[in-house]
Amino acid sequence: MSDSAGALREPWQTLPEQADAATFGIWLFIASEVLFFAAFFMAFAYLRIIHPQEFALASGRTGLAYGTLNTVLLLTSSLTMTLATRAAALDLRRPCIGLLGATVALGAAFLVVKGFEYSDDLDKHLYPGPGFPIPLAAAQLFFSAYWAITVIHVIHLSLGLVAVGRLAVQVGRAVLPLASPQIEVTALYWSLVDMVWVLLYPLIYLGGRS
Amino acid sequence: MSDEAARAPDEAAAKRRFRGQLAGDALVWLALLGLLAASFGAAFAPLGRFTLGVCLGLALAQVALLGLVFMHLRHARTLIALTAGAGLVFVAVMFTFTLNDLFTRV
Repeated sequence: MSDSAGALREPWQTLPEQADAATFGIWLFIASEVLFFAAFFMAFAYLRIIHPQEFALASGRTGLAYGTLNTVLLLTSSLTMTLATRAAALDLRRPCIGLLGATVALGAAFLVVKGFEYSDDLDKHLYPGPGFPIPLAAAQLFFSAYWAITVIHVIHLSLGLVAVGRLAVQVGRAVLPLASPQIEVTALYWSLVDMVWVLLYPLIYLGGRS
Repeated sequence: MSDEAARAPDEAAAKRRFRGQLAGDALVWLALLGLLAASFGAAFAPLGRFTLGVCLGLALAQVALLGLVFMHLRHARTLIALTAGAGLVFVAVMFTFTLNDLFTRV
């Protein structure tokens, strides 16, 4: 089914014009998101430079296995999401549906793993406040940054999951034409969420291991 | 010739093209996993104070692959490249001037 006319929205006259505008729009949004996350990275870098020992100690307490597994899941989901856009561009509906479904499954698996990790963190009192297990005050700063950044990342990922899930359903029911720029735009957002995680991984999990 | 019959050769060509793209993207994915494994290994290596720098460098290589290939920046129009670049320039300004301040105090 090649019903590109159904994908066209006002005020655009042609689908390529609409796709150009949609791609430009999402990149403006991505640039603003880069600044948003960079503020957190900046704060993290600042604190780490002032408290290197405390941050290394705290980082060594994080769930490395969970973090590594989640990185593999997200990198794989970026592959499936990119392939979904390629299938859509070639008008291959069935592979596109399967790949969107795989992306949703991998994103959901990330959230499940993150849930187990949070549960472990809470059991070990790895949050600022009374009962914190590391006897160095600044180590609590690491975990306040850890919770803030990872929860914000989880929120971003959950929104992405809803967007990709919606695409999977709409493409599956043939409600959304494969030519719709929504597929490409959602894929770009999904890759951004993956990128942020890739940068968080060494900062959160790889300190204090050697 | 029915529409269905006319479509068949197109679809076969599209599937062939898709398989080619899949192979290319799968290679990039393997490279991403390789960089992740290298970063994991580097964290346990006796690199001293260079550990985080090496791990972050490997993460930036992953980010570059994701951006250039999976987010299509490699073939992006000038407008898109400028938009993505503008975000990075603003980040660079924030990091440079904040760290300038920090390094002249500590």
